[in-house]
Amino acid sequence: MERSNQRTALAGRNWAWRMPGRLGAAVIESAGGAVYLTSLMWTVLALCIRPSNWRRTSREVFTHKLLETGVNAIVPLGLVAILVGIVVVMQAQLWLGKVGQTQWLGPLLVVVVVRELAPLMTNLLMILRAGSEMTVELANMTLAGHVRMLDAQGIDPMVYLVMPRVAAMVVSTFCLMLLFIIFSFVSGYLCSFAFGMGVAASGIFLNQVLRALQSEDVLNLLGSGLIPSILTALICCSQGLNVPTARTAVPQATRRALSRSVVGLFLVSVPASLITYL
Amino acid sequence: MPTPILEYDNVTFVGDRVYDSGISGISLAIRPGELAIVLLERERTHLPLADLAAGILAPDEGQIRFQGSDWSVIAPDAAADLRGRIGRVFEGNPWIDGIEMDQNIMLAEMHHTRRSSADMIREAEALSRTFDLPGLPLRLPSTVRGKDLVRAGCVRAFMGKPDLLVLERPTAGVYPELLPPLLNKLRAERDRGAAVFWLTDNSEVWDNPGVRPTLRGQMYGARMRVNRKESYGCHDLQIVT
Repeated sequence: MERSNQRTALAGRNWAWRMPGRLGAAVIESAGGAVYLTSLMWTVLALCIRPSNWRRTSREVFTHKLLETGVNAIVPLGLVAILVGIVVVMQAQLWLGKVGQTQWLGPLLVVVVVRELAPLMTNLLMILRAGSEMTVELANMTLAGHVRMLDAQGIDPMVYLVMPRVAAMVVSTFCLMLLFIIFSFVSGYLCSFAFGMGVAASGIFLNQVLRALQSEDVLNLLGSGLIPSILTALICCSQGLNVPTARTAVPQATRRALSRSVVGLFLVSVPASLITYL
Repeated sequence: MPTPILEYDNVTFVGDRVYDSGISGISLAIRPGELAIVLLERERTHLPLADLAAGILAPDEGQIRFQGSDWSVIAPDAAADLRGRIGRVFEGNPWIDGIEMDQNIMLAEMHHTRRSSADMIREAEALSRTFDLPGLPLRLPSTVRGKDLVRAGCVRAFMGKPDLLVLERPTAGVYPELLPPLLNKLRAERDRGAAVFWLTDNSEVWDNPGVRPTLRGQMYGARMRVNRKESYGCHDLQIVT
């Protein structure tokens, strides 16, 4: 009995010692990951700005990925934007009309749609569509020895695989964010009009929104929209290229890449929004 | 005596899970126009010899020099450009699934040179016919027959008149029918001044007098026994097209 009590006490003490240890290890691992991602980001940016790296092979990958991640995502993103527009714009019109504060319609829509929803929803969609595809594709290439093969032919995998994917992701995200804003405003306005909710003329509505748009909104849109897209592309590429040598590792790498990308998205979006309000 | 195009200087590479075995204490030199053929053990066909030759692996001991320069001291960009001068038949399934065969074949040339597409296609078509393909394959690799993939591997290796040819079991699955066109093409490349490093697990290929090697090696575990031409005698045979 006494021995059992001693063992329990010892286990408790070990647990108490182990907890800070595990916490420390997790912090060190996260810090290491952040340092690695930062260095990867600078490397890719440095590669991107050198015209000699944009050889025709890289340009072809860029074009192909732009089509795959950007153009092919217009329909699903458009659907989401239309539904969001109906919900947000209609509700804003309805409730502001009821309390007699329709002059706040423009600022409210800019805050909700332009600052928050457009970057968030676009990036989430890009993580789900392009991020998962990128991780699986690169992981399979790594496992099949194709990355090593490219390297052996003098084709730098960073220049041929990573750089055009990151660039395509950023350009796609930017264009899709703009489309998201346009789709949601147009759908919301048309729906309010169709339901006879006493909306102003289209010109007045547009004027209200544009007048409410400040330079900090544009900066916020660029910051919280484009930085997460760079992070997503880098996280997915690095997870794909660093996959361990086993086929079963591909789903694990994909899961890790997607969850880290989502965390990265919120880690950037929340401070960006806070900074805009301060 | 000209500078060797490829030189292993007492090279040891302990190993990696990717390869069937490491290598130990290997020294050999291949000069312009020379051909070194190495017989691999049947159960150890995937060795780091070719990757070390391309400088994408660093040896644990020794040096590997390409055109007189140690890979370890060449700047990454310059090393990548130099690798563009190596034509290689790769072991395994070396085709990127997402792009068509013609793009796969011309990828390195497209990356390293500014040659026009039409010029590259002309060369690739001529090489395809040399290796008994009906023309330049245009489909995705997953839809091409295994034997045609091997032939296309040779087409890719010879694209752009490389300075060094590294052939990893180029006749695997297409022996003996691929041997005559391959030997003919190799003779032309060697006359041009290219060096050839040929790895095979087929003793008939290794023994074939038509190969006309300047150096013969044989792997025993991680070690290689090397004989130069003078020590075993070599007949200059004409290869009939």
